[in-house]
Amino acid sequence: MSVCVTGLGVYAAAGATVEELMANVLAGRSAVKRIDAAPELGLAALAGAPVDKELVVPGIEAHLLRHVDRVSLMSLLAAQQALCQAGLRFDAPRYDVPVLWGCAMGGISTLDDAYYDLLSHGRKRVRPTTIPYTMPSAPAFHVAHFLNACGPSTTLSVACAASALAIAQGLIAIEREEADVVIVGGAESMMTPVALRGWQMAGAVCLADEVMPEESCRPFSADRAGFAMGEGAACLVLESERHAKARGAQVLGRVMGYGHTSDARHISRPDAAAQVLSMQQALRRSGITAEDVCYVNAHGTATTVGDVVELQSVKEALGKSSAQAVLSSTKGLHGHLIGAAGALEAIVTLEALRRGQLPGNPFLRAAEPAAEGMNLPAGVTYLLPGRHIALSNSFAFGGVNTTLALEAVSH
Amino acid sequence: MNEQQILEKLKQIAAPITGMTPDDHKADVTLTELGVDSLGMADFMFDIEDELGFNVDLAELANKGVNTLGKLAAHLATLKAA
Repeated sequence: MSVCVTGLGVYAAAGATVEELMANVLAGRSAVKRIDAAPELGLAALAGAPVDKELVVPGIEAHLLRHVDRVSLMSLLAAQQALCQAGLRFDAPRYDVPVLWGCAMGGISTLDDAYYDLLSHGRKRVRPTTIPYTMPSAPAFHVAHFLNACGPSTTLSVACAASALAIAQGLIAIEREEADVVIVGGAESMMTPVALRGWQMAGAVCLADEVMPEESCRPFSADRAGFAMGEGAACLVLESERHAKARGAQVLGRVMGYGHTSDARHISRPDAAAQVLSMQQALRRSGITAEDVCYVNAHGTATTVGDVVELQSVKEALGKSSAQAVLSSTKGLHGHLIGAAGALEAIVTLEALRRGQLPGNPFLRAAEPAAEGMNLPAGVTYLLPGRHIALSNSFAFGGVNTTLALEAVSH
Repeated sequence: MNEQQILEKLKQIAAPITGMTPDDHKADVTLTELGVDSLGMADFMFDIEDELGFNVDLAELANKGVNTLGKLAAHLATLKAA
């Protein structure tokens, strides 16, 4: 079980391209800042990594994207990059190219605007594009429509595991020979007052650090206080070995296997047993052992409970190898992109392996005691040239756990 | 605002929907021919309400055969007069 990755694309606060994202992540430069969600209410400022740039999608006439929600616009920006890097362009509908896209909440900025129109501004009608542009499946539609990828379009809406599971499903589609090329990824845009305050009330999002807001989110640090909400999209082009070879495509890395479990115990409290099983499945399906893993890109949301449970799970799943494998969460730098998190972090992981530079935990002020005996460096770890394997975890609300096993060659 | 002024305003409102300049919109060309689908039509009515203050019923337009900007301007001028 293994498929090639031939194209990558991202659009997030930490980087509008993969190069920009990796430069920032490896330098420990954080895109997190103070955000005032509904400042008129006088609530404490939160930490977040919103995309502040104007969203202009090249090559598509503006009127065709009128009122399209930003979650779809960012999806297009990431998908265009990935397809371009893969050297693919579909000038006619390709009914053999599926789109598998993760998105938890859809276009909730559009929904928020409609609420304000109807309930606060007293308008008697709501814009007719409200429903189609709010649907969680809208980003997948827009990617499929504008890229001519007209194979089966599927949206996976399993919270923070959504786009990691999209990658896993893409792997399955190629393994089953249902497709030779699959566009996978995810997007999320939850920078609305209701969403942000909802996450805050759930005890998941941190307040902005008053002195250093960029260091507000500190995964695995003893003084952690939750994640910083991120925003953006990430996309990978997956391809069968045969297809990639036949057209001479550059192979950036491989998705070797995946784990996918559901604990079905509690909608928000993580479960170690299901996480362990997810990682074990990924190892088994990839035909590798824990000793082969040099890096774990953790889900690491910097919540009080979540980080401890994940550290315990990694220790159990990797056994003695958990003392050697580098473990880090990059969410402190790019924020938590929810439905896009799995795809963005898979890209960070693959690119880190390719560059032979594993990101550290730059805001680790004092390590969480559960990390004792594990390898959580603050800075970058350099790899010797060669083939390297890593795991990327995405553990979601709703009890859905996904682990990806990824491989790349560093030079 | 008379019928001609309404027509000019409708061309401006339609421009971001069709991707054409206001002057490219001919009064006797149907909205379908301009590339406006049913969702776009509903969106257009939303913008007309915003810009001109008319609350337009799409079903009524269909019943009366109002399918061009010219006919729509004439219809709206009637509403205003009423």
